[in-house]
Amino acid sequence: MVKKVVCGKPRLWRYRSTSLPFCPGCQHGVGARAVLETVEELGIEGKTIFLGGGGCAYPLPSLLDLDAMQCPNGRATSIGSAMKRLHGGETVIITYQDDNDALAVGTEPLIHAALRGDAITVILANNAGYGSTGWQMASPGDTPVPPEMDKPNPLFPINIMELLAEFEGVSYLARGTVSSANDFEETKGYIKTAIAKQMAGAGFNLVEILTACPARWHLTPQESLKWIREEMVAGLPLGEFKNGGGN
Amino acid sequence: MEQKIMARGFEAIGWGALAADCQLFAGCPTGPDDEAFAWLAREFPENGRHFVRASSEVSAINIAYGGASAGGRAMVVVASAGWGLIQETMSHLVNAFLPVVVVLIQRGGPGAGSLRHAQMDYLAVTRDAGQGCYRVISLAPASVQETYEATQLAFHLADKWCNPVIIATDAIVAGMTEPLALKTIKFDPLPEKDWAVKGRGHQPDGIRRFLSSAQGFIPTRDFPTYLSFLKGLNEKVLKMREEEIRYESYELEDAKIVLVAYGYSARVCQEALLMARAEGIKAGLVKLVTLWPFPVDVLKKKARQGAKFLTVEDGLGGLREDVMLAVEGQAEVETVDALDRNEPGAGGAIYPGKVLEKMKKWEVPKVGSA
Repeated sequence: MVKKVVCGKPRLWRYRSTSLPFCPGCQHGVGARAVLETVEELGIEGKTIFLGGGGCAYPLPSLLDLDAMQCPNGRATSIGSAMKRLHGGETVIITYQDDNDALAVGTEPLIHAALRGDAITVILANNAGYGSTGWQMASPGDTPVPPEMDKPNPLFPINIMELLAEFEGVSYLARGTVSSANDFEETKGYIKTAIAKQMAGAGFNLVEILTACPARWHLTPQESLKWIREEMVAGLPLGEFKNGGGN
Repeated sequence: MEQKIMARGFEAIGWGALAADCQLFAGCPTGPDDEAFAWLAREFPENGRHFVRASSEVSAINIAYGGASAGGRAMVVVASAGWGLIQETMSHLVNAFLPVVVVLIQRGGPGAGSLRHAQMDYLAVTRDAGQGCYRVISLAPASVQETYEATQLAFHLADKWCNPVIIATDAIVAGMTEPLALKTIKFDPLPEKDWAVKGRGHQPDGIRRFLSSAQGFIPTRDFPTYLSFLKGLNEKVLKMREEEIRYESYELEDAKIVLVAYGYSARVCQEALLMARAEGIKAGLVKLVTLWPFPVDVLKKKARQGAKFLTVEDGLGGLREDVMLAVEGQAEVETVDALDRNEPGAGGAIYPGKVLEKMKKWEVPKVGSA
């Protein structure tokens, strides 16, 4: 089999400059890239709405050649639920939220969008921290942790897969990483399935991507990937957790 | 043909929203807004509109945010207890230049306060209750018919200014039953919502749309810098202040005492005015239709003519502050407020007799006594 190596960036990064506005080793750019490549491959650029939120990933929506919004922190699921209603099933709603956005500030709207079975796709970029203000852990951690703490918090108590799996309105749940080329492709597959479920009107779905935050974790980018593989995955296992019809 | 029905104020909000072609309502019932909620839950789906039972007022206003972003007309109804919860998003709507209609049914406060009527949120609806410097047009209906018409006007003004608009009513006006003439108001046409987010392929020019509530922080097409955003926002506020003042005046020409009121208190004042005139007291009334912007000029003019002012409000002096600002120290300003209610329980209210009593205490010249 001949493998063709292609180097480039998704066409949908139209409004980004040469570099992304993220720290060295941060994986928001890679996580977003997995979403953008999937949207391109599905050919749904014209009917996709990308909803970003707060935290470090806030600049993402402004860089894209998609109809997009930078939403108030934690509120993208509520906003997406309404847009889906007004625009109808044809329109694809994708939210991109970090763990503080989706699992702390935005827990209530996320859970209730899932309970209502709103056919939107949530991409949850979980980097086990709250890097945009410098040093705090996200609220599921114990407390704000002093800056001397030089390890990411291994005790991340919200397992959103287990929490949402029993909701009838939820059609698909998966967790992946973007730590290697293979992991990246696998995660893209999850995103593709999630969007397909949404387009079939099958209800709420969510893909969690474990992403590195070397600056906050006080680890090198390589050490960060190792930490994801060896520590984070132990508490937050990878794979598909629900693959159903939803409502 | 114009249809006439008997309706409650709660229902008039819904009738007005249907007439204004509101497509989406989101809410979380809290007394005393729950009766509006019940009507909307029944009638919106039956009329092909979206009704979303939100998990909280925070989610409700953000669902409305999504409806507005999509280019639709969207509304929330909150009681005072939910008012505080929606302020974060009110501020974000202002930043993003998005139109949402917010109906506030005032109840007693602070905190849980009471479940009954009050007018305690005057300062909150006339200032920037959320973060940052901004203003929002606040309409104050005083009857069922006015509630119906104010709701239609609110949607028009929200779209006109790309800004939230508040209807600040109270549980007496919302709860009363009166005749209602159902007639859709024809407003001047408004520009297409070219900014609405709907998927790039649905944009006439094929160019992506981007909406942000972090304008000033994230550069946008209209506002590339922080100061350009603040300048644009400020210009809009000043224009709204100039163009959208609404009030009604009664017997103002020769008035020596000017009553200033809104909502149910304005109805009380209309009765008190008749009683005062019958006793020869030269009273007049300024009934506020917009709480913000505020009719500064008419009050200032009366102050310069030597009139005194009596604000009547079922709160604790919020309205009085604006009247004092308007008259610039040139007139006495007294108040009939929540402490002048007829009974100590939450079911009490301000009655016309109390307003008349306060006017008499001022010993103003009688009609015909020079």
